[in-house]
Amino acid sequence: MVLKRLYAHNYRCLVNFEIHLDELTVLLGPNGGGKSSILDLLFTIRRLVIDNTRIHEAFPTEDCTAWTSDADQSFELELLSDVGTFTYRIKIAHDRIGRKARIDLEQLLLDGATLFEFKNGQVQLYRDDYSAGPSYPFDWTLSALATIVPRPDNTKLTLFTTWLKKLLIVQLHPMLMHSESAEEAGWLNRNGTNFASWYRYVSQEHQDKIFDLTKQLQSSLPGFHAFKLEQSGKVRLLKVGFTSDDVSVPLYFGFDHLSDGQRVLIVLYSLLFGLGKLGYTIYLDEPENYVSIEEIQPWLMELLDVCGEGIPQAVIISHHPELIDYLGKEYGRIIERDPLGPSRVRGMPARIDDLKLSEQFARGWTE
Amino acid sequence: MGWDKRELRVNKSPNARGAAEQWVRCLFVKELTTLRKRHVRSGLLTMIDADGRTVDERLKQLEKACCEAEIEFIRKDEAVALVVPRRNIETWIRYLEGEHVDEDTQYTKLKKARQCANAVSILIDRCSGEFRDADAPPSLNVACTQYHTRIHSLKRT
Repeated sequence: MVLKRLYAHNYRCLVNFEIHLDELTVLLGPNGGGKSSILDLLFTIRRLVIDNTRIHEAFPTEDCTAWTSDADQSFELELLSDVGTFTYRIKIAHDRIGRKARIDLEQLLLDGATLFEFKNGQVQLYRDDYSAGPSYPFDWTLSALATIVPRPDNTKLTLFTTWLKKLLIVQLHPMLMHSESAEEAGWLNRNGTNFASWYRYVSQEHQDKIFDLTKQLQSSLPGFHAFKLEQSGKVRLLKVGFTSDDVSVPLYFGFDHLSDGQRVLIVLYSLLFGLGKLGYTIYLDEPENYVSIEEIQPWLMELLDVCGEGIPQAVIISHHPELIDYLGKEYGRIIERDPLGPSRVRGMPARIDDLKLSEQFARGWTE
Repeated sequence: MGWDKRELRVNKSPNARGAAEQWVRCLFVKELTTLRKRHVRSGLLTMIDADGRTVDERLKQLEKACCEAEIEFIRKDEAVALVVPRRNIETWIRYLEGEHVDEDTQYTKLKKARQCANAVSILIDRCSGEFRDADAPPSLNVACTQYHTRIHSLKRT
C-alpha cells in the first residue's frame, strides 16, 4: 500500500496543504519549510490510531497554525492498494482558549464507499460488503478506529490500520542508541534508540531477514562479521563482531561502542533488509547524517533497488548534495514557505547549464 | 555485473531521463583525464544511447570530444569501456527479456527503472563469460566484448 496524497489544514505551517507522493519521494528545500512537519503529522496520526493516544495529547492546541484563529484541523490520507483507494479523514475541533480538543469526524472510505465513520460522538461500522454494522456512542477524545478489532468481516478496514501500524518514521540519533534490550520491540522508535530491541524482535520473528541483513552488512560495512545478542542479567546486549585481514576470529563490540556513523549505517541497512517484503513504509528524516560521504551512494542504490518491491514506499528528507544529485531530479519535491506563511510544494527547478542540482540549491537557484 | 555497490561510483545524468549526449561527452573527457591521474586501479564505463546514430558515430563523437580537449582517446590497455546501446537501452532490455528486436525500432521506455531488474540479472550471467549471441543486437555484442576485455578483468586482479 502506498500513500499517494496527504492533505493537512491548520497544523503548524501546513495550511490547506496538499502533497502527492510516489513509491520514492525526496523532500527538499530550506530549513523551516515544513518538511519535518509532514513526518510529524504522520507520526502523530499513527500515535492517535495505533497507540490510542488521546486527541489533546496527540494534537495539542499549540500545534494549530499560529497565525490563524481557525479552531478546526482537518487531515486526509489517500492510499493506493491492491483492493482500491483508501481515504482516511479526520476533523478535529479545538477550543483554543480552553485548550481542549475533540474529534468531530473520523472516516475511512474505500473507493468512495464508507468502511467506518465516527461522527459527532457516534460510531457507525460497515462490513467488507459495505452493509451497515453496529452503531454506538464513543468518547470523542479518542480515535474510534483505534479500538476496532480485526474480524473476518472488516478485512478491508484492517488493511488500512495494518499499513498505519507498519509506518516507520525515523530521525536517527546515534548517540542515544544503546546496546541493551529488555524485551523485543516490534517497531523501531522515532530516534532509532531502541534498535537493539527491534533487532531482537526481527531476529526472533523473521530469522530469514537476519541472514539477508548480515550478508548485506558484510559487503556494506567494512569489517562487519555478524551480530550477537548476549545475555547479561535480565537483559540482552547487542554486540557487533568485526574481523580484518589480520584478525580472522571476530572481535565483538557493544553496539553503543561503535561510532555514530557505523550505528547509523547498520540501522539504515537494517531498515532495507530487515523489513523486506513485510509491508513496512519508511519515512526518514536526513538519514545520511553521520554517514561518511562514500557510503551514501551505495545505500541509495540499495534503496532504489528495494523501493516499490521489498519496501512499498519510502519518503526521505534531505539537504545532502549526494542525495540531491542522485535522486533529486527524478524523485524530488521542494517544500518551502515565506516566513510566517504556509508551506507549499513545488517541482524541481529547470537545470541551469552544467551546474549540479545540489549546486543550484546551494546558490538558492531553485525557482 | 557482480560488482559490490561500494566499488561503484555512478554519475547520473542531471536531466534524469532523456537526452544527455552533450553531458556524457563532457563528463567522459573529464573522467578519462581524472582516471589517468589516479594511482590506484579504477575503471571507467561510459554508457550513451546511440539513438538515431550508429555505434561508430557515437564513438567518433567521444573521440572528437577528446581531440578538442587535447587528450588522447582510449588506449588499448586502458580499463575504459564505451557502451553504446543501439537504438537505445530499451532495445537491449527487450532482447534480454526474450523478445526479437532490431536496432532501428524505438521501443517504449519502462515506467520504472527497477522493471529492468530481470534483464539486468540475465546480462550479469552472460557477461560473466565472454558473451556473444548471433541473435543479440550487434551493439550488445560489441559492448559485452568491451566490458569483458577492459573492465571485467579489473575484478580478477
